[in-house]
Amino acid sequence: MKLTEQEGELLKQYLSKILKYRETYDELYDHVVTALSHKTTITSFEQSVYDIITDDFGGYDNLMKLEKASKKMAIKDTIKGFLIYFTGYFKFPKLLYTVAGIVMVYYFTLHFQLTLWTVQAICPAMICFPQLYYFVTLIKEFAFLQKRDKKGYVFKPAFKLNVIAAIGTLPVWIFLPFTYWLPPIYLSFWHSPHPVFVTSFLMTSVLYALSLMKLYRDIAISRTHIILAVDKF
Amino acid sequence: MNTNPLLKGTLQTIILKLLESKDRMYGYEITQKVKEVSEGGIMLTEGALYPALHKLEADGFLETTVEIVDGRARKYYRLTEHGGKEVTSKLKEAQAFIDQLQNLLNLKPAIK
Repeated sequence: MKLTEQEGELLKQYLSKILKYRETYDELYDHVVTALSHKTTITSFEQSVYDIITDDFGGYDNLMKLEKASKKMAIKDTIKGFLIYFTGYFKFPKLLYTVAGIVMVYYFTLHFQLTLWTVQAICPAMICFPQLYYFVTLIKEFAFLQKRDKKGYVFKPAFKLNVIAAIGTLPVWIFLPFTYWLPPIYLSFWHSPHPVFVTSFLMTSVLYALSLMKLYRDIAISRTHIILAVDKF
Repeated sequence: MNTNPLLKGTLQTIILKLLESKDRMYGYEITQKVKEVSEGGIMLTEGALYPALHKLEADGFLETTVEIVDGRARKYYRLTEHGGKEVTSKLKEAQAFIDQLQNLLNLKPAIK
């Protein structure tokens, strides 16, 4: 059974309503279309779609359950990926770069007395950087959606991008309460920043941001692959 | 048509074994291959396949690539090196279970 353009659109709309994320939508849309193309018995389009969803997935409700289970798995997988990248900086051979970075930052903060203003500017910037980075990726994602939507390919938010958002926002959520609830500790840190604290803080922030960027790069690679393929099509 | 719970415990082994025999496969292709090999005896239904595939991917046994086929994205699964080693271990585990099950099922009833 070959789908007409109208049937294809109907199927996209139908699955779009049930499946909210790119990972599950793409996979199940392909499954249903491929199953339809292999159908030899002539029944109506609606009945055929209903039969496939019932036979292969156990019905409409199971599609949502399937998405929920896949989301849980993708979140676990993304967090694991982030932790692997982050802890990777403390394992050989990257450990050498990390140690070199620590030594350089420590030497710099120890011998070139940072002004209070510099510390107060750098540290919040490092806290906010992962979140800012996420906003940039979000803008890029939005521009991408706008451009590609015209080609008839339905792009949806990805589970993994949501996890990146959460990881990007985490430092802000961790340090924000200090501003309000622990002012004395917070202020003492800012007024007399010890080189060890500054070094630890800056290095952790840099490695955190680098791990996040690597994680995003993994997602962007698979997305670029789709862009190129869609463009060719 | 077999869709019973016995299949659930061996689903990952089946997927890994199928992917060992072919370089890469996509979801629908796996369901059809299982149907073909079992001559329609085993059907992967109720969405059991995709969660199992995603679990294997999250565990690092499978890796995926996306290709555009007829204007839609198709996700292909293939074994990772780690997954290749897991096939052997899972097959041994399944074989041992089948042997034990067979021993239990072959017990002769007591003559009364």
